[in-house]
Amino acid sequence: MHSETYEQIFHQEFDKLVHLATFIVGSRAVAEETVQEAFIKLHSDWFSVKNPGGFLHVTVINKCKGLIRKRKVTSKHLRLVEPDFQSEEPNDYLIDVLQKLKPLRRSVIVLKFYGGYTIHQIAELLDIPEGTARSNLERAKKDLREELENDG
Amino acid sequence: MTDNKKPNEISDHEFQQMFLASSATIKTNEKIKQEILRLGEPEMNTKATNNITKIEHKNSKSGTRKL
Repeated sequence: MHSETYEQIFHQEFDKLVHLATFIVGSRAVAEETVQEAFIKLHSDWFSVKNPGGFLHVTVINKCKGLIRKRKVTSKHLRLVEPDFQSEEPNDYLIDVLQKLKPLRRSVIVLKFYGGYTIHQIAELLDIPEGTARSNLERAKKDLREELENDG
Repeated sequence: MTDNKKPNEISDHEFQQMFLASSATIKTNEKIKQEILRLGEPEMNTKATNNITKIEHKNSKSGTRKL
């Protein structure tokens, strides 16, 4: 039995997950839909899930990865050049700048500096070697610095 | 993680602060929040209560784990 109720977990995790997903996919509406789907999955699996918070994070990150992968395939075939997702409303400057980074680098830097995950945890979440996570974080930091300097 | 930054470079702490400030600008949709909250809390609580009652009943019958 979980020590926290569904409602408590919702209040602890919802906003943070929407923010995390928005940074990764670049659209709050898409992020909210993704998080909503994760909560529906948690609801249906409630009695078999041991760690609801962890379950939600893994589900949301996997869904974001899936969205990025799908978008990449679509872009390749349709030769689209626009950003990953067309946002329905003006984004904060950082969210827009992040969309200029390669998806893996973007995911790693978001998980590190907003998610607060360690390199080991990021590697597990994204299913990549730790060395790859570390090098992508360094490249992402460099890219983000350059983008901020160019735009600033 | 080590933060060996060069002069004028953005430090890890500054990156964290940037993300935190940016996250504060992301406003979530109240309607969606209410929908998720309504998802099934009463049903889950009822099931949870039933499960606890069943366990307590079983323990009292077997005489084990009495406090």
